[in-house]
Amino acid sequence: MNLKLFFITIFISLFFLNSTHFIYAQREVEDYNYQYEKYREAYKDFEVARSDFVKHQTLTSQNELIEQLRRVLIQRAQVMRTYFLALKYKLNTTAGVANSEKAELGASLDDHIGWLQNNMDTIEDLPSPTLSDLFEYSKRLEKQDADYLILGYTSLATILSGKMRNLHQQLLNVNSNLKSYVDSSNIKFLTNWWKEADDSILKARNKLTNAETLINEELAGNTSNENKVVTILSEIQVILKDSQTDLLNGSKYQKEIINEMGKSLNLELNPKQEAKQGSDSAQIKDKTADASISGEIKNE
Amino acid sequence: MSNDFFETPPISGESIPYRDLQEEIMPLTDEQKAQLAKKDQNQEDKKIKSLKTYIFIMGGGLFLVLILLIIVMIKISQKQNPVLVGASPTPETTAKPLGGNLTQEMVNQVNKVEKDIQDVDLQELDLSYPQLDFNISLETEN
Repeated sequence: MNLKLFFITIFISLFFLNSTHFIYAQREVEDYNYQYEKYREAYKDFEVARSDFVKHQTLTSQNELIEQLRRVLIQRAQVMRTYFLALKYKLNTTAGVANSEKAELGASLDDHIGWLQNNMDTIEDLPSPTLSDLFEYSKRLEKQDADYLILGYTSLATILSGKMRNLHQQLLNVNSNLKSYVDSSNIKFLTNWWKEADDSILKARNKLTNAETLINEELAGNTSNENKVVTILSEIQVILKDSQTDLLNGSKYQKEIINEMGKSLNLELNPKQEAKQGSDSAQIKDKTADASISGEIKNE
Repeated sequence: MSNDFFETPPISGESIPYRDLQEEIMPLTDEQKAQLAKKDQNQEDKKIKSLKTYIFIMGGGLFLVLILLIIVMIKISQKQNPVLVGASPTPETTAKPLGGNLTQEMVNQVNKVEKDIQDVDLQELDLSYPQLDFNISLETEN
């Protein structure tokens, strides 16, 4: 009984250990969205305090504005910090993202995360800040706006291309596994279908390469134009979408091949062949048997 | 000599009743005791030995039966399903194309990848860049 409990505990612990990464990534994304919501609320309050101060110019309204401004500055930094944390975890948990990309982008994200944390702490610890003090601290963060945008968009594009890279690799593996089945089959047109699938995968690969070039050369290197960064990301997303379509086409060809082979197995077998297949079934996986079958095809 | 007629006369050797002689137990010598003990020990050893042999034979037999059972199970599991030939069309002499040895694993692989490609999220709206005010000042937009 105790042994049973022990094994159950071990199993549950292993399960949770295995899923920790995913849970953390989800938690980071949820935290980012929560902090973003808090920023929206803080910004509304700041706008009210600002218009009140501009309108009345009283010391009370000024004090209120200082508090609201401090709050919104801290919250803005917090949103960026949690956003970068979410991106970092997403990068680390997305299959298909290269280790070099994880390391490079992860280091940049860490730098900014640390800087934002310091900025928040400094503003929070100011004993009695004036409005000009706070605007000064605000500008320090605002100067990094372009860097944040590029880092954020580059990380996001890398995550998306990583996803597609992973799917491309999976489909490629399936196609190479499928090849042996197609080769051992007597249905000649299946080879053509397999080639179509292979072509689609190649097309998807080329588009992926284009997207990766855009990320590395255009997006990551573009520090001058913020609008262009947004346009490039949209462009990358369109290319990745095309790549997805190609992969889907390839997958459909594979499915057709499988359907055809299944049909052939279920409907076209006759007793003589069944008997033959029964005796040969253990050997079909064997390459020798494959060779003999392909030899028969050639003879025909 | 006593004149009392009721007094029991002394018993001489010839007058001892046979019953009493029969019940007399002679004490055993040490040698006899040792022999008896040895005899008992031998009998005990024989019993234990025969019991051990019995257990050993039974265990061996059980083991063999188990081995045979395992072999039979393996044979049964390896045995191919009999080909069911029902009221099917007459056997054809010309060979029809074979579909190859398509496995369920292969079919599952294809279906899984297809589903993954269909479901991939290329927007990641949860990770959209935040729209923050990066130009906070006292001036309002209006």
